[in-house]
Amino acid sequence: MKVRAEKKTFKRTMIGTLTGMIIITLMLVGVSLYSIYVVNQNYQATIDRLLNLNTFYEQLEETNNSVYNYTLSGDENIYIDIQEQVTGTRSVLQNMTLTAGSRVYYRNIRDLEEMYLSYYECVQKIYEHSYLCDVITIGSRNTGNKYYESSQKVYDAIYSQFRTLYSTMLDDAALQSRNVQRQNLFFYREMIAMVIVTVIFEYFYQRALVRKVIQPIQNLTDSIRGFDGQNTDRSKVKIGSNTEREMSSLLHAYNSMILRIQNQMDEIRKNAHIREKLKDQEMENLRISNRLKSSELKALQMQINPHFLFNTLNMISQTAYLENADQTVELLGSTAKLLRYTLDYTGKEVTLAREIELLGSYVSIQEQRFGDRIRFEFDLDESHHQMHVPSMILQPLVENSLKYGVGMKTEGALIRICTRYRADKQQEIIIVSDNGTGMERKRLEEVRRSMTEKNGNERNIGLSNVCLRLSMFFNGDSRMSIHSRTGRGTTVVLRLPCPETEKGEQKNVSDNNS
Amino acid sequence: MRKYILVLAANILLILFISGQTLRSDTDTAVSGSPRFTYVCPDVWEECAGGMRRADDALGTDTRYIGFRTADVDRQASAIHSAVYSKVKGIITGGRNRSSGLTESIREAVSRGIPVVMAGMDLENTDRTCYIGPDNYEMGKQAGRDLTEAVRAGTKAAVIIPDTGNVNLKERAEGFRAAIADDPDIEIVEELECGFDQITIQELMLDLLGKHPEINALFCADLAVSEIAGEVLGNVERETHCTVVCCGLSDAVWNYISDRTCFSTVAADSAQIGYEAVAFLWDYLNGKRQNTDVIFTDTIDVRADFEYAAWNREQNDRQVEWSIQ
Repeated sequence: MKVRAEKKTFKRTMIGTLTGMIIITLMLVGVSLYSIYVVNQNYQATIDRLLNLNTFYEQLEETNNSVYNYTLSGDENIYIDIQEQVTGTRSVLQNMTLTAGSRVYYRNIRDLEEMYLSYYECVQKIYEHSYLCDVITIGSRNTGNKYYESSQKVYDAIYSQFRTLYSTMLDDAALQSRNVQRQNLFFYREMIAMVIVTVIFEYFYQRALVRKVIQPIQNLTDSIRGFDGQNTDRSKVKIGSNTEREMSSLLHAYNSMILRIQNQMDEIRKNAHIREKLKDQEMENLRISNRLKSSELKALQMQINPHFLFNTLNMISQTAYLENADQTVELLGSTAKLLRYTLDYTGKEVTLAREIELLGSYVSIQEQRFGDRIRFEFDLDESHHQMHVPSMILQPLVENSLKYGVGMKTEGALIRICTRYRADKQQEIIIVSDNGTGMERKRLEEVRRSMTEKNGNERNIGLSNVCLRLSMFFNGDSRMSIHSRTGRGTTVVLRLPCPETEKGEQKNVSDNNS
Repeated sequence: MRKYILVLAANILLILFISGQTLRSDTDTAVSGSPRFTYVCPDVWEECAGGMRRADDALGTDTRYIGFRTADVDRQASAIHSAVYSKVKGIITGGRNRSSGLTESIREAVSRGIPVVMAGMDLENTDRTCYIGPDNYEMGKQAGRDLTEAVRAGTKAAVIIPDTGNVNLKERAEGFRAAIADDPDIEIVEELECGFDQITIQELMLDLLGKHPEINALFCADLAVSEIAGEVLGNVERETHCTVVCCGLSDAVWNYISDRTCFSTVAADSAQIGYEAVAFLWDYLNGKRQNTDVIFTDTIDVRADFEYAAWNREQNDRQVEWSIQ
């Protein structure tokens, strides 16, 4: 079946069908024409037989008249004529036997021939008797008449035979004529039938052509028009089991092409998406790099002045010491530590312990400044203070509390610094809280927004700087949150990732440097 | 491909069939040299002619069949003369009617050396070469035996015979009488000569039955009478009161036997008569037979259980082309 299907092509089908039609038509026409020819031949043969028979009878009539005349006159010339006539008549009879006819016809002609011979024998007897009689007597005339009568009996028999034969032939001719008419009618009907059959065949042929060639091409065209690169299944063309080989190959090739196009478009989309993502990532990296450079620049700027101040402070400290100003010496010491820290560790990572130490120096200064007005409390869980953090992350928070939180309080201000470790979350929690004026909701929202903005406004640059540096340091795993209520103070919470392993291993560059 | 070949072949066969139907040839080739016989039948005897045609096919003879729409002895004689003039090798005819002309024509044929066979019906005082047909005496006798078998005591029979001068019919009547002679239950009350014309037969039979209401048995000595007997009895509503035995078998007679109007009929094997006639001439021409006076053919006694259809098919298995004059 598979082999047959492979060989089945529209071209073969068309050629086979057309060839068959042509052969059948030619055969029909050929047979029809031949049958008409045969019938016409039969009719012609019948007419020929009739004509021959008629000729025979005419010649017989003529001969008989001559015999009568000869019997009366005995004229030799008449007898010569009779002989010629007989020869001619026998020739006609001979022709009649050669004409196509039925068995009965041949038999009738044979009988007629023999009768004619008998007739001629009688005529010959008349002649012989006449020839032998030198003298015509009554007796010889009677004998001659008797021979004549015999010839007439035979003549009558011939005539009777002729009439029967002629009647039969006329019937036959009538039959043949009807045959010819019937054949002609058959031929006309056959032509009409052929036209009808041809029309019907053409109809089915066109239908097959439409179904097997035009419709598939139409489907293909529609599919091409409707192809949008999205839905492959809708764009494919269905291939029926009876599709001719040529169309089948074309449609298969088209469907394969659709599939390849679809796959390639999917690939392109995927690549474009990836490239877009890469681009976004690059932009992000660029922005972070810029922010970092900006922070580094600021830190660098901050480093320039501290060097001068540090030297100046050293000088003042020495002077204060010489003047026995212990408090001044202590204050200057704290300030120097602060400055030293700033000089050494800005932009670097330090341990949390170091950062808190720095904060202690800062707080010492502030305590001198504000006296009893502001109290600083440290509640520390030092178990994980060896973790690494960026420098200068706590001082800005405390400074903010002083500036915006408790700065306006005349008494009872408290700034609390807590550290805790949450083992379940592996986080170091640092809380800087104050009991200052707090913030209104609107302001709080603004501050929170600025913490996440890369370009925060000037007022919030410390918080957003700390937040950004923490995010960069901890790769986005740190969390910084701020809570505040008007009149209730403000709390800033830092959640820094601190896996258990970091607790012990300490290759702290800042510690080594100190 | 196979489908196309099959369709093409089917179409070709159809075309050939159609063309065959229209191109039936009616031509033959002239058969020269075969001996010519002529059968001059008093009317048209298809079964006998069929037998002759079978013999023609078997023996290679050429028989011409001349018949007449109505029996005419003079035209029959004329046809025999024509056959003589056409120098046929043999003539077959039948002698239903007495006619000097017919007798003369037969004599002339015989005198010219043309053997003449009387088929089915013989003629007296002719020089015919041979009679081939049933034993008419035995036919009549069989009919008589059938009647004795069928009837009871007090049977009054009538013999209806077309021509008492016809030797064949005379023999049948004699045979019939001989068969019933010893049966005291059957008495022949009337013998009617009715001729061969059916209307005349009908009229005479009706008269007979009217004059002799006691008649309860009929013997129809010839097919012409047998074919009309049932109708006549039906007209007088005596088909159940009369036992009829016939000679000759045709569709009409068979219908009478089927519906029990007639008890039985004795028939000749017509095809055999025809075949034997041609065969005799053929043998005669070849010197295998001399003058043989009589050749009897088979007869059959037909009752209601006879297989008429098969017998009829066998009798008519050959068709001939008659020259009807």
